[in-house]
Amino acid sequence: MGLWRTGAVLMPEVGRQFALAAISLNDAGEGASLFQTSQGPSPLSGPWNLLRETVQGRVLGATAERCVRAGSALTKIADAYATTDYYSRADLEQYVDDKAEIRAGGNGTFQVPEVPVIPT
Amino acid sequence: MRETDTTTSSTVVDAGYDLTRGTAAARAIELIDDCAFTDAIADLIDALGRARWCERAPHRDPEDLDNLSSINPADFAAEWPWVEERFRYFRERPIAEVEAAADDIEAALNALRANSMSSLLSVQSEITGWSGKAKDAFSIDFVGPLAGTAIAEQQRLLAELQAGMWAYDVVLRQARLNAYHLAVETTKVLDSLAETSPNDAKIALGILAVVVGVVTAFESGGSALALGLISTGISAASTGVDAATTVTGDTTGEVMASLLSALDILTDEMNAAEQAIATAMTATQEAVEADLRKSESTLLPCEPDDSVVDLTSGGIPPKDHFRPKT
Repeated sequence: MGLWRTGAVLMPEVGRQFALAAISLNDAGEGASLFQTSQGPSPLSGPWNLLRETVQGRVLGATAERCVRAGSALTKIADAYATTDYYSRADLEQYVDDKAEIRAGGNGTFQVPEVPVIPT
Repeated sequence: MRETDTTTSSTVVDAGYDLTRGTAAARAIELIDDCAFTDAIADLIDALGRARWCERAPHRDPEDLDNLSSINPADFAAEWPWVEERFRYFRERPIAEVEAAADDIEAALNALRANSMSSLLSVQSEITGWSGKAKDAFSIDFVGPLAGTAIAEQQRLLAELQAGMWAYDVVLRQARLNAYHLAVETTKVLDSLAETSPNDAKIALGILAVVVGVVTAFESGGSALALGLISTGISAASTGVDAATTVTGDTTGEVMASLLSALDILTDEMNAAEQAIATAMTATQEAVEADLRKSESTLLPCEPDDSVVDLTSGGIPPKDHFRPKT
């Protein structure tokens, strides 16, 4: 069951941490008045926000996505092996049934929060 | 595939980066609240009006105004309508929101701390029972670098953003403090105009030098990337001089001209400090872009070998590329 758990629980859990970091970073940029002055935006506004958006989307968000995709792939690999002799389909299904916290997400997988999309 | 198998690491490497010293240095700058700032400007306008009222008739004593309730001293300051607006520039940005943004980045950092990444260690442990090219690529090119270097580098990048926010906080605090002192000292100079030898006031207006000092208090970071603030710091060449000026004059017109000149210097100092931080952020952006273009990115591990199905793209490899160890 280890590979299935790795794909369905562990990798999404790792991805979730990167997604949470990305969401917090998005929150940091929400203050529209941070850089606003009566004479226009601060010269820091553009560079700081560009870096924040890059880290949020292309670093943290991308890492979260990779973890989730890898988790999905590992789950499918485990599922494929459950049809052969590595471990039985019945054992795997029983294991999944026992994991109430996984089913709590509603679709049989651990839930990873959506990373806010950076407008382009 | 990377040459080194880093999957044997038994820990997720934490950058251990700590902004405490830099944050404390920023918070040590006295924060003038809105109320005190507004009062100081009101006092300045009042002193200006009194001084101007006296100037119009040399026999007048400014204290006589207190007995003339029909006269509003501020009316005599109307020749200088720019006073409130010019000072407002130094207090209009919300310091509390800037510090809240820095706290949000701290929350992002905490999400990536090693103690939040225990699942990644379990992944490393679980996949040791498997073999094949796809498994190796997943371990060596993704999981290993993620635990060994990428998370730590991402933490440093977040610390860089947070340092940028604290440096900006320093600009706002110091600009507000300098403007407050300028208002208070100019009020004293105006109040002294009726005396036989009016006062001068020498006022420090430096901001950039203070920012440089706080940035120095941040740790150097130890990043593989040249981060503009915490790795490189703001260069000495851009620090200029510790700006200071003297507010002086024998008439209200001369004092106010002197004040206007000081406000111009303070505005230039503030802009220069913000520009220096912006330049550092741009340098970091360039370093990040360069890293993300690399096939073996430090920040974003991937599986670059086209001969193997990439699990991080969601691909499902042939069974012999990801199989149980026998």
